[in-house]
Amino acid sequence: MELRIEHITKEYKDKLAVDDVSLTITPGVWGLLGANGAGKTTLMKMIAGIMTPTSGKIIYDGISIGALKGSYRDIFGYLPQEFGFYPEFTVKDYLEYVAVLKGLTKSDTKRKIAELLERLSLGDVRKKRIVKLSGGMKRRVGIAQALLNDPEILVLDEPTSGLDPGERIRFRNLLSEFAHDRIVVISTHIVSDVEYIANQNAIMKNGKIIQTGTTESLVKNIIGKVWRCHVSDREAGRLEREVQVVNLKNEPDGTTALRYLADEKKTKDSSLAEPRLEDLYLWLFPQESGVGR
Amino acid sequence: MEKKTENRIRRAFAAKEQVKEQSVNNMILLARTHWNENIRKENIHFSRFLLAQVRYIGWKIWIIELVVTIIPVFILFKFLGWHTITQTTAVFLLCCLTIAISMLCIPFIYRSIYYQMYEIEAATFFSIKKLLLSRIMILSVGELVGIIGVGIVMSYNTPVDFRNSMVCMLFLFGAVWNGVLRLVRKVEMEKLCRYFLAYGFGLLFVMTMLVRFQQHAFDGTFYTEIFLGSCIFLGYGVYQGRLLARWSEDVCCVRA
Repeated sequence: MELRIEHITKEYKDKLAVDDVSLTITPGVWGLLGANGAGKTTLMKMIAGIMTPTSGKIIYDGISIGALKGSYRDIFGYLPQEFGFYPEFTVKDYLEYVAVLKGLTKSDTKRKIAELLERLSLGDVRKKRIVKLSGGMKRRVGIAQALLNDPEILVLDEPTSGLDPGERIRFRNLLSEFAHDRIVVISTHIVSDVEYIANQNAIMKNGKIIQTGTTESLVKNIIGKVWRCHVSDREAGRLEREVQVVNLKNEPDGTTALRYLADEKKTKDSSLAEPRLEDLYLWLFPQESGVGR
Repeated sequence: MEKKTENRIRRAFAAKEQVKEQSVNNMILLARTHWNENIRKENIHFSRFLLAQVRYIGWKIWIIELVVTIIPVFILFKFLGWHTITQTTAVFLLCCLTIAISMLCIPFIYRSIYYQMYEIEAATFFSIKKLLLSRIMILSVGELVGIIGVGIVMSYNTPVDFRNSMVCMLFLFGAVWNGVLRLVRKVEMEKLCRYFLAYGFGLLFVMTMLVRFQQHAFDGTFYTEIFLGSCIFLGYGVYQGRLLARWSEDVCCVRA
């Protein structure tokens, strides 16, 4: 199973949202990382088949998704960034409605809804109207609808926004379990969402994919560039202005523990730290932490 | 993969030294057949999908249509009295009612966009175009029943010719819904409602001009021509519906 994106470009009137992107997506969890406006959502919509690329094509197992038509949507699950619902729907109504749209038979619908309500801990609110649910629960309903047809390709756009830490962990575990022999693409700017579960990552910047690979292979790019040190408050202020600070923590002894990105160490007692995906992300998107490199 | 399918694909490859467009299309067709036979899960038919839509939205549509149909008739009966109705005014009122009820489709189409559901709906097996088609079918059936009902009531209470009224109404009904189907086929989802509004008001304007300057259009003078026109609209409507149902299988149905 393979989803091949070949030279996809999406051009709006005044902006090139996706610029000649090529990527081969194989089974497993794929993390699509990028700052806001990098073109992730546009790429997701094109993979979902709800937006036409200006040029290029998307091929699933050797057949263009344009040729597969409804058959492609039949094996596809999608959670958009802005999850919508009709206000009169209860959780159960909503899932039944989407199941009908997905063409599920009555028996499959019943079985699948019962299974998902339990797995996503939504059983207690099945008869509650979605409009009255918390943000995290609404998101879980969104994830449930994407999984209804047991999709072979699952595309989730910012799936964890609004979820609390516990829900995030449960969601990650669910996805890891689900991704066996399937393609799961998660678009996010929250690095920790994909750091532990993504088999592969693709990093987008200004509409282009600038790096792809496993977390381990990607972070190799910044070996020798991540430092940690303990400094005084004043020194910490100076460093914040000069370098990209990943993490800053006030210690009980009055010093400040810093983790920063730089080509060479900025204080005498700085030592090299093991790089993480978050460090790479901030290295590639310095504006995300509000400090220039 | 089945041996039979494999052999057919092998033959398709071996048949020509140079791969022609037709061969590529054949291969795509074979691959799709293989997909449908071996990979695709069992899905419900469009008729079941349509019935499910009646459960979710159909009854709401029909209640609103009933209210919108009854109110003008009630006003007519109560305040103007049936004796004021002539053949021309009866047909004109029926036609205006047809257009007004058709315009009810706007909020039901706009719902998907307003509640941000259309991305989810578009990425499903039936897709948003088939969903729109089902809503249009539900709306048009409700409208047809309602208008015929009004026509019957009018013909009982006034000297209006039922046959002529119905033919004129069917002509306009065909024109309205063919226009709507064409717009659904051609116009981007986000712009549909605006186009519908413009189309509805355009038709109302034409109707008003006709009743002012060409009263013969309503009094039965052109019965045969209008009847033929209605048949053409009916045929074209069926053709467009089929086209839309087939076309809605396309992956890219919502343009940015």
